[in-house]
Amino acid sequence: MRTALLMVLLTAISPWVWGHKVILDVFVSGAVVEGELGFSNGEMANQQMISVYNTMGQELAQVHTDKNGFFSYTPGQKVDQVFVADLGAGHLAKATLSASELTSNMQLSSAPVAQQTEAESPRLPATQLTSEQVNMALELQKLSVEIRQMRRALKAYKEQHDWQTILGGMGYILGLVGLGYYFAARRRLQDK
Amino acid sequence: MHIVDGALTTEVLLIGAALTGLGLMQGLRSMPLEKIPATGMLAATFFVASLIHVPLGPSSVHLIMNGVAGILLGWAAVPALFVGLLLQAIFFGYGGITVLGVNACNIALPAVLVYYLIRPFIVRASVRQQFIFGAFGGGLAVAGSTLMVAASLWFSGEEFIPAAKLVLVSHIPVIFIEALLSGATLYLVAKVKPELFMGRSW
Repeated sequence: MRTALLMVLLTAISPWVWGHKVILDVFVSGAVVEGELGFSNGEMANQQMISVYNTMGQELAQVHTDKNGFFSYTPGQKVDQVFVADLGAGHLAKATLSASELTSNMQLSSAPVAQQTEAESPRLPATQLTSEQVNMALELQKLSVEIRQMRRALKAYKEQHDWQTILGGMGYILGLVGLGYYFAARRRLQDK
Repeated sequence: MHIVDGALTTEVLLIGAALTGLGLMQGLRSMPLEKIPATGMLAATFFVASLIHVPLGPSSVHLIMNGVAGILLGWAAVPALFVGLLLQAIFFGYGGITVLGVNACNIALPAVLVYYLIRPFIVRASVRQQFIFGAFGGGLAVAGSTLMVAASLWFSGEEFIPAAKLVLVSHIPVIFIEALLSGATLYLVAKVKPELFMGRSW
């Protein structure tokens, strides 16, 4: 009973040590595919290599995350893209982007060519733009950052463990204990 | 400690699943009625303990408590730890379903080994000695699990020594924390519920 109490207390007073796992998220952003590699507690994985494969397992490209765990990639082929981040010691994160999600804005060819891009937004040639267009581009950039933050928050929300889930797990264990009792009691009765 | 889906070869997955299947059969067949509440309690402890990750440098580590489960339950630790891992995989996405057999094997087999190594001393030990044996068993079980994780990765193609170093080094603090917690838990059990040590658990 005291052990149980200790475990419950330990769990209750330690919200800062809730478990987390490696999360790889990819999404289409205009003409490129952007993604983030991090942990469900909000920490980002910096300078990690991510390999991009097609569904046949052929490597299409390798990209690296920046210090914020962010990466950008320009696909060369309209095929399903499988992003794999191997952080070593069995820590593997995988995310798939289906070919149907790749937009017509992308310069997709039939040849299996892929380009790695820098982890920053594509720059527009400022000299050819009016001030209105520049403002619009800046607004779009801000919007893009806000959407990225929302995606990150949404992902973290999905991954968080709430008490209901943990208590649900306990409930399953309790149910299995009951089932175990039933079978053990039946076995004992048969033995008599 | 949880290896995720896709990190291991099919052969390793099948061997892990087969060993876990045998362990489950042995654990369920020989689980006495009196041990069922303790089995459920330790499954719940493992389920919660593994969710508590302590940030450590660039990574984080979590408690396992397989040593305590092994010492108190013997073979019944296999179903207890298996259920904990299954629920973690389903609810939280830790590990995975295809790799469940290997993960269960990596965590439960050292627990059973600790049972055979430590249990004979624990049943004869004084209350204070329980702490020392419990701490030793707790630390040993985690060390065994780290080696088994490294071996699983090795059989799947990774270099054993770097993999073992990486897993073992990141778990050195866990080994010490786990040893202390296991010692304290068994000390408490010896004080308040010594009948848990009575009789064979298998």
